[in-house]
Amino acid sequence: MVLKYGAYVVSLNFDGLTTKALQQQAEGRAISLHTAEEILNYFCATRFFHAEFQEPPPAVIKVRGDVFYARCTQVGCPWSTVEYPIDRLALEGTQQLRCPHCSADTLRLRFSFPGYRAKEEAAYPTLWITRRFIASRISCIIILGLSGRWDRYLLDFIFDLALERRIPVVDVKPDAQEKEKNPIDNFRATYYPSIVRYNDASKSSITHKQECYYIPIATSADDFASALRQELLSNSKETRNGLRRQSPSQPPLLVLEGIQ
Amino acid sequence: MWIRGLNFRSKEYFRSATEPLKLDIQRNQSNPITVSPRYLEEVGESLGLLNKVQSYLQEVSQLGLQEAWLGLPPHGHNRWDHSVGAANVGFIWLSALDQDKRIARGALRPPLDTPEKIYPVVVLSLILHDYGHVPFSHLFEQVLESINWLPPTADGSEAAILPERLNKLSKSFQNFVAAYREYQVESDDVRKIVSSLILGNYGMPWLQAIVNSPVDADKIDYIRYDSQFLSNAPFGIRARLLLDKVDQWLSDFLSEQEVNHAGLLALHGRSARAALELWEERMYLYDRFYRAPELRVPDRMAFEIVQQYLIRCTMSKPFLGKQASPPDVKSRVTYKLRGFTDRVARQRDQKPVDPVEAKYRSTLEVMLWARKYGGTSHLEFGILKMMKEQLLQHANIDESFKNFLEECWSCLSSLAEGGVELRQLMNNSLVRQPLLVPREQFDKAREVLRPIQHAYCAEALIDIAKMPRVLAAPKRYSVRSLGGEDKNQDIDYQILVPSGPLNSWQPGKRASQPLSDEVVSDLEKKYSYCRIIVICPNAANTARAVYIWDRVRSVLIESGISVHAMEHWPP
Repeated sequence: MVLKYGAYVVSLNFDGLTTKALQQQAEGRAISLHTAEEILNYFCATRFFHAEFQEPPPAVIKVRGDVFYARCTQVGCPWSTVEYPIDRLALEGTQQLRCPHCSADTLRLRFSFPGYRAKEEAAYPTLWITRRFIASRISCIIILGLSGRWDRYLLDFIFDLALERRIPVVDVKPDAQEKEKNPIDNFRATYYPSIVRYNDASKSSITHKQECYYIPIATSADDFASALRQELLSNSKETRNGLRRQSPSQPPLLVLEGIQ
Repeated sequence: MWIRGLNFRSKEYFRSATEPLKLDIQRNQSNPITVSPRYLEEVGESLGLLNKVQSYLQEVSQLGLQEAWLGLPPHGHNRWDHSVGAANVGFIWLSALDQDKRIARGALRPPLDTPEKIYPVVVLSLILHDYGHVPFSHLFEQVLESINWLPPTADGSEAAILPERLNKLSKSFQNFVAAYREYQVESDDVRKIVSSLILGNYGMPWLQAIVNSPVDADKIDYIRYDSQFLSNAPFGIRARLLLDKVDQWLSDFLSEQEVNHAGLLALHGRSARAALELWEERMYLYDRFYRAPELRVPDRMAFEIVQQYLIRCTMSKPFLGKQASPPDVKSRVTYKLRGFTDRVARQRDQKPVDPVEAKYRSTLEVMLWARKYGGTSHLEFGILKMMKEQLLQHANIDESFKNFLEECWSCLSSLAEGGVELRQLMNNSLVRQPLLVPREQFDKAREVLRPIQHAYCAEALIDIAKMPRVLAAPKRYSVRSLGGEDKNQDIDYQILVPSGPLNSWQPGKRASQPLSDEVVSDLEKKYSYCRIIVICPNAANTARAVYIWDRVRSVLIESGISVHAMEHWPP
């Protein structure tokens, strides 16, 4: 979807698998964006004064996960003060992390659990600058496989965005319909009660008017993604859930992938 | 019948049907961009737009009542001519980007995935961009805002009206689909695209920038059109940006711009400089013309008549009963408001009726219905006359207030009929000098002045006019900075401009930051105020009028609002 339909992926995973998968599809040209500055630089790239300009590769926007950064413990190494995204580190034959700067095996992963101030401070600018660039282009937020149990700041961000832009939030996971076991639905009911849960009663209005709804879909991320792909390919009028197909006025989707 | 192609060509941009417009903007200077008027006419003809669109827009004057205040006939300066001008600018703009291959591949998305598909959509959107305006347009919205009848979710009356009006053009959209079968879209999709572009929520930022953004084709043309109008008007202001040499400014504006891979419109050096000139000119026109105290004096008098009429028409059953309005309007209005709280209490399980939304919808219906009272010479002035007459005939209105309204009307009618000049009216009715308060204190100032206005309602009118933002975006959204708890409002990122202070934007400087309110804050500072004036019709120099002016000033100061009387007044 990134390559063909111009979707923007906001990834919460700590590994580099999404970027790697994208690189395979895009002949090694995919990149991941970790900070607000990197996102700004990516979206502001222009060619007017560059004769040799090439279109930037597709990008994955990475929001800091649970274990995400590496830092060198070698005293005096420039990397001892810098947190470096681990998806940019190439594993050597020994599968041991080495500091790219001093080449010592003193590189250590940094843990930053949800609730850590540093983690939330790092995540907010990334999310907000993404929002300013792409919020006007999205017609729906699809959350794929995110439990939401430890990510209250992220849920706050998602529902706030949905409410402001009056767009639906689709929550895809196998147990999405079980209210008690779904932290995302509980969060919505507690803090964003004006975003109503989609049900049969609301079906008729959602087809005619774009509104802010919470739509839980009990299926796996893979099944949903392939169904969505089929839908986009077939260009049919109605999806199996009775939703209008994506409005031509707001083409791209914002896909949030996460760990369960 | 539909509008023929030749009606889509504006003589302001294309001198003849055969002579192409040459813009010396290509990077290879030996081969300038040429825009063909024939192609524009072909695109216009193929739209199959119904004639009623043209006749509707021709009826609506570009500046509303302000043309009447200047004693000029409205039909020479109407929304149709402006819409055609805006469509021509959009067409030229798109031609420049397309011919010089300045649109990155990633910026084109289905169903508008080639420039050829975009031309007709841009022309159609710009022709229809004012089709959602109701009579009095901006004055009407100011009235609703003043009495808190504008729902917080309403994106202006245009957003409420336009979709309904576009629904009635389904035949036009069917014609469009028939002409462009290769698009593989349905007429409903075309309507949605056009509506989204006009209202500013389409998902292609650069295309949105052309149709509705801080630097869109509409603004480029209305500044040209109104500047031209001003050059013939009996008003002591002349435009500073010479948009009558429009190809010169357009060449500058289009010379260094492109659409990048992310679909953002990048305005490099010369283009950014030209955009800055446009924003400066727009603010200048607002300051010295659109919201100048000279024009606010009659505008405020008309505002009072419209406001009183709408309040009574919506809230007063006896007043509604007296109206000549058709039963459907009366019944709908009264149904929506009569006992709505009881209905809400009874129907707790259903969606409650929002009283503000109900009033807002009712007033929209009333305004659309009132169109039939538009005079043959001036639509809004005819409606205003009808409103005044209905108010004066109503038994439940206090006699002293009726006399006051009568006095206001006599000022307005003598102004429109040329019996008195604008400057003379201002000298007779504007009390002392205008007061300036910071723009961020607009809401507070309005609320503290409300009781004063009520107390002196039959003697004076208090007007508070806020200067617009430099960047006139369709809507502002939340933004939050690092670790910040407070949310501000700012525009979405659609346009890129050079970094650094505004005066450093020079030819050749690369666009490297998104355009936002913060970027133009230096320019914004100059205009971040509201102007408060006190109007006593034909009694400005009486002791009572000066006393009211003093009360207004002292109430503002007591409330902690920073107030400055305008120096060098009258200008």
